Amino acid sequence: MNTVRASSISIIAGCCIQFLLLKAFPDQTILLKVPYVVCGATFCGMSSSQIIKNKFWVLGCGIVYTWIFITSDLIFNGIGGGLGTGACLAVLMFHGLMKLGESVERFILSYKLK
Amino acid sequence: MKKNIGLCIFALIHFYYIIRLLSTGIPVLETCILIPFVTFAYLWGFGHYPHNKSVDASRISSSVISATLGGVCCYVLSPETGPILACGIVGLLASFLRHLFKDKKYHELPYSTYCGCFVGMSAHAILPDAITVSILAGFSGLLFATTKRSLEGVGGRLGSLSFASVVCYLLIHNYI
Repeated sequence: MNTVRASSISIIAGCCIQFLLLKAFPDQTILLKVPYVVCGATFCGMSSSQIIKNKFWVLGCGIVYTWIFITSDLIFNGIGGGLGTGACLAVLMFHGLMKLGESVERFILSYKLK
Repeated sequence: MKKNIGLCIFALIHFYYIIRLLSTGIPVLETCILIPFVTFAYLWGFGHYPHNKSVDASRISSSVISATLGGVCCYVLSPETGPILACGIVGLLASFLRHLFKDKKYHELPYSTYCGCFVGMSAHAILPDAITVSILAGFSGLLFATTKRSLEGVGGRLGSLSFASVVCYLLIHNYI
């Protein structure tokens, strides 16, 4: 399965879940945002294994993406590609943070060895 | 510079996004703390990504045509289904293009179509007609073909290209 198909199927599944949840809880307007979050999060998951090393990294990217989504929801509302750009930023930011963590860990280990 | 054109495009798009995000979305105190943090994390990630700097401008026509088709299909479908479901349906159909066209040079078609799809997800209040969408989706396809080797494997790069084409249109439309 290529990444485009995986992402599309996840998006359609997210829409189905939203439909079912809205049937069960019709007053919860926050559920209207579910497909948007799922859509952006699938873009994080489209990353290659060179960038996202394991499933926990996907989880971390998802958390960073959620923060970006909550902040940017009203700013980029209706602009195509806004979700993807947020996802790209989340992936790069998380990748950067992990690399920084690895560098700090290496520095501490080398300091201990001395 | 010529070799890094793809990376420059991505850096510009992302900095525009970060500046808009931090200048309008968050209170002042948090912004002062977050600007260095977000910029540093982004630059660190961008700098540590193993970039492939070669520009591949071949197969432009197939990318532009497929992106245009994807964008228009998504735009036409979105009033009926909503933009997200429209994107999912067009993306799912696009993913089978690889099986229709066996030739290796068409293997990128699902990606370029998906890239155009994001332009079609724009609100009808922002992009008023299908002709504008087709032009912008075609432009995103052109960007896709030009920057194919930049940030390869980073999720959301197709969305960034669509975002770039829509933002270019909005800037030109609003200020000129």
